[in-house]
Amino acid sequence: MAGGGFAPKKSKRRLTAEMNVVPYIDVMLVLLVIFMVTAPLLTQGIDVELPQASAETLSADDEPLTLFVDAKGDYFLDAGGDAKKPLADQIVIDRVSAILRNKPETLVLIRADKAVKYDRVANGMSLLQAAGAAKIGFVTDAPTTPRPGNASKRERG
Amino acid sequence: MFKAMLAACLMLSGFAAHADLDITVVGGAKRAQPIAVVPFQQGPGQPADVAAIVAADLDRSGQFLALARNDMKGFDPLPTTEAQVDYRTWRALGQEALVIGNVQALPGGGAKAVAELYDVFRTQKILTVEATATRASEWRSMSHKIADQIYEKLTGTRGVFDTRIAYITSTMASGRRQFKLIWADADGENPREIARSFEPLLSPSWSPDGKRIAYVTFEGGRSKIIIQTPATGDYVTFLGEKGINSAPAWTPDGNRLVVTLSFQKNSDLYVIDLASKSRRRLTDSFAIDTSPTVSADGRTVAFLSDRSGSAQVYTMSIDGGDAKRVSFEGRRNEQPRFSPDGKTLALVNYDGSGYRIGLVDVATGALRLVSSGPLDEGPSFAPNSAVVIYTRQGAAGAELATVSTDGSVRQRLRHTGDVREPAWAPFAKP
Amino acid sequence: MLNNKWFACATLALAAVATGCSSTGDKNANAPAEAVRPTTTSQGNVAAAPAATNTGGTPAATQSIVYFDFDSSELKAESQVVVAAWAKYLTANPTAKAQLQGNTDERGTREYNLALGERRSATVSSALQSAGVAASQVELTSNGEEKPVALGHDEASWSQNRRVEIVGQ
Repeated sequence: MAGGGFAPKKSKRRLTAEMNVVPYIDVMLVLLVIFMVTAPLLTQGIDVELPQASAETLSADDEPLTLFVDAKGDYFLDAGGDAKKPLADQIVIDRVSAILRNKPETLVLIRADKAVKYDRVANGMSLLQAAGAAKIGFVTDAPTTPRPGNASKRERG
Repeated sequence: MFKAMLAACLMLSGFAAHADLDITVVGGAKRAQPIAVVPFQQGPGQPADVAAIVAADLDRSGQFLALARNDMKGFDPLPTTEAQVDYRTWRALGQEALVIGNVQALPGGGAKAVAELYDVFRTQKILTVEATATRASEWRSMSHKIADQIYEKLTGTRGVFDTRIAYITSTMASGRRQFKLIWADADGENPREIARSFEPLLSPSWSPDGKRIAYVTFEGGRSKIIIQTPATGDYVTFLGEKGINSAPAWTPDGNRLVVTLSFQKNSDLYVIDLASKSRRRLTDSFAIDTSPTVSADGRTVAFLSDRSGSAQVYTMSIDGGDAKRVSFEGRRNEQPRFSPDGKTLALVNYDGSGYRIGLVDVATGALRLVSSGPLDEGPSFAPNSAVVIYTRQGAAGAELATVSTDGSVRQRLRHTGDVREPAWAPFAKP
Repeated sequence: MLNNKWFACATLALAAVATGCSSTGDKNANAPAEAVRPTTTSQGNVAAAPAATNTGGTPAATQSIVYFDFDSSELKAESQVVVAAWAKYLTANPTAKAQLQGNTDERGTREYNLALGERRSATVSSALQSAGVAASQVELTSNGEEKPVALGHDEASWSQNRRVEIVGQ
C-alpha cells in the first residue's frame, strides 16, 4: 500500500513532499481496537478484587471499644473482663490509652443511659480524649440493648 | 606462667547478672506478632522476674512485639490462671497471643515455673510449658527455656534464648591492649571470662556437646591451640607446633579437630585425633589452606584455599582426596562455616568493594549476601541454623551483629571495647 | 589500589628514606639494635652484642620493615634495600639471628591473614637466603592482622600494616 513512490516502473513523477499518514492511521486504529478490547477486561479485574479487599478491612478492625455510662453516672468498659464493676476515671484512661496505643484503629463508642446527667457523658468524653481517642461515636439506640450497667443496677435495685 | 595466668583469670561470676553486650534490634520481621506476657504469679524479692525475661527474649528476636508492662496496668487484676483469661481484653489490645504463668520457689533457691500460651483469636490454650531451676543462678536460664518453647510453638523454629555465645573483646588496660575470651548468655547477660591475655586470642570453637571450647592464643609470642572446659577452667595446650597453629574446627562426633598447621613450611589442614593426638595431613599444596569447617554428617570439610590465585572455598572428604571449588561469585570467598543442620554454608564474600556475609545453599550452590559490609567476617551459626552471628566494623569499632538466615531480622551487639570472633555454642545436651 | 597516587608517593618516599639510611647505617657501626618487642624472649639483645663488636650492628629500625601490596606477598623492588642491609648484617655475623614477623591489614578474615602474614615473612626469608643468609639464622612468625601499627580503616593505615618487621635477636 502507498507504494507509489517505489513502483518498479521508473515514472518521472516527482516525489511528494507531503507526509504519508496512512501507516500512522493504521497503527492508531490497531491501538484503538486493542484498548477497546482490553478496557472492559481491566475494569472487570478490579471488580473481582474489590469485594475481597473490603472483606479484609472489615474483619481487621472488628469490635469497637464501648464506654458505658449507666443511669447513676458510673463508667464501664467492655474490655478488661470486669464489665459489671464501675471504673474509676484513671482506670478508664489507662485502659483506653493502652488499647489505642496497641490498636490505634479501634473505634471508640459511648453508650449512655438517657437518664444520665449530661455532665457525666461530657466527662466520659474528655476521659476518652485524654486517653487519645480522636474520634468518638455515640450510640443512640441504647434502650433495647442489654447493658452491663443496667444489669448491675437492677441487681442492686 | 601461662597456666597460672589462665587459672587466675578464670572467673565464675555469681548470679548477679549484668549485660556485657548491649543488644539492639535494628531490623525486625516484616510483621512482628504482638504477644502479651502477663507478670507471672510469683513472690516479691525473687531472683528473677520470669515474665519480664520471657517478654524481653521474644521481643529481642524481632519476630514478636511484646506488650509493654505499662499498657497492662489498667487491667488489674491480671490473669494468672486459665479461668481468669478474658480474651476480649487481649483482642482489644491487639494481641494475638497471651502468656500467663506462675513460679513456685523451692527450698535451696530453685524454682518451678509453669507458663500457659493462649491463642487470642481462636480463644484457646495452645501450650503449657514447665521449666525448673535447681538454684537461684538458674532462674534466668529457666525463663529462657520457657521463651524457647513459646517461640518454637509460634514460629515452628527451635528457640535459642537458652544458649550461650563466646566472643573476644579487646580493650585498653593500663596502656596495653588486652584480649579476653568471654562466654555469655545469648542475651548478653551473665558474662564469664574464659581467658585473658595481652596477646591476641582468636578463633573460638565449641565442641559439639558445648562443654569444651578450642581457641588460639598468642600468649608467649607464638600461636597455640588451647582446649578448655569453661565450666571448670581446666584446659590443655593442645597444639604448639612451630609456625602457625590456628583455626580449630570440631568434627560432629567431638573426637577430632581439623586445624591449620604450618610447621611443614606452609599453611595446610590436618585432622587431629583428640585422644591419641595422632595427626593426618589433609591438604598438601603450596597455597594457603585454612579456616576448615566440618559438615553436619562429619564427612565433608569445607575450607579456604588460595590455590587458584585468590582465596576461595573448597570442599573435600575428611578422609582426603581431591578438593572441589564451591565458591565462584565475587573476587574472594573466605571463612566457610557449615550450619548445624548441614543445609547452609556461611562464608565471607569479597566483591572488590567490601566483605559481606554470604549464605550458600548446599543443595543448589546459590549464594545470598545477608550483610551490608564493608568489613564483615567471622560468621557463626546459632544452633537452630536460623540465625548467623558475625563481626562487623561499627562506628565505634568492631561489634557483633546477627541476621536471620532469611535476612529479615537484624541485631547489633555492642561492647564497651572492640568485640569480635563470635562462636555460638550448641544446644546444651539434656 | 596499586595505582593509588598517595601510595605511590609514600612508597617512593620510603624508598628514598631507606636508601639514605643505608649509607649512614654503614658509618654508624654501633647503631642501636631494633627495640625488642615485649613479646620476644629475654635473650633478644644477646645476639646483637657480639655483632656490634664486628662489622656492624643490626640495620636501623627504618631499614627493618618490608611493605607489601594488598593480598600480596611479593617483594617490591624498593624492599631490596632492606633485604640487602639485613643480608649484609646476617652474613657478616653468622651467629646473629633475625625474627621475621609477618603482618597484614584488617581486610580479609583473621585466619587467612594469619597465613598470609606467614607467607610474607617466608618471602623475606627466601630473599635473605638467596643473598647468602643461612636458613637457621631466620625465624618466621606471623601476627596476621592482630598487631596493626595504624588503626584507621583506610588505605593510608592499611598500607602501613601490610609489612614484615625484621627484628634482630
